[in-house]
Amino acid sequence: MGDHTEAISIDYDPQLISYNDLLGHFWNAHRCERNNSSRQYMNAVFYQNDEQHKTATASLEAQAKRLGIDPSKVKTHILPVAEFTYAEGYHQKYYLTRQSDIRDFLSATYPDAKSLADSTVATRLNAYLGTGMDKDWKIFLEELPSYGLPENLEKRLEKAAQQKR
Amino acid sequence: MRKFFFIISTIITTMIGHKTIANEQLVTEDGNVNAQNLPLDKETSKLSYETATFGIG
Repeated sequence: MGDHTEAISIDYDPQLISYNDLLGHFWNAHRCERNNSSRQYMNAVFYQNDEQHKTATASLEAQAKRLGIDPSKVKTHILPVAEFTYAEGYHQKYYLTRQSDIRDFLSATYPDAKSLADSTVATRLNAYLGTGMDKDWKIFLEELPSYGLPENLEKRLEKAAQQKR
Repeated sequence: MRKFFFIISTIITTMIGHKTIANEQLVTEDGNVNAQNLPLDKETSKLSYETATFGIG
């Protein structure tokens, strides 16, 4: 891994969700006051521009205030983004590895790691079929036909989602 | 003897597995969206998004 840090890159529509909202999810997803010295697994915001830098710094201060600690006690780093390298295919869309038929279809459709990582369909399926997220199965059922999945997979997912509604 | 062959074959299989994984060509972000084979992906690939990057140890 050299001096690389494992990171996620999120392409988002600012009309639907703001950078500040994403930062809110980020702060809730980790303990920012914990030791954070490992380069490979560090907690960090990698900003793309000055505006993101300012927003991230303000959100760090707000998080410190929420926790009742001094901002200097926050161990999470705020750093300029560097070149982003896609991890190998087997690292992408982890929750889909439990769904071999869907994974096989997506791997055949997108054989390389970048395509699979960039796929909105794979990303949404990974989120819906994974854990730890609020899932709106009504929206899932509405958008499922637009995914372009083979009929047998679509039917299976439709049945599973209807049971969970 | 059978145990010996089992151990050797396990080591060889593991080495081949590691070599296969290590040989995967890593690519860097180039701003293009390669995923366009599914209708929804084709549609979203045309939209202009902003990017946020986080490391979560």
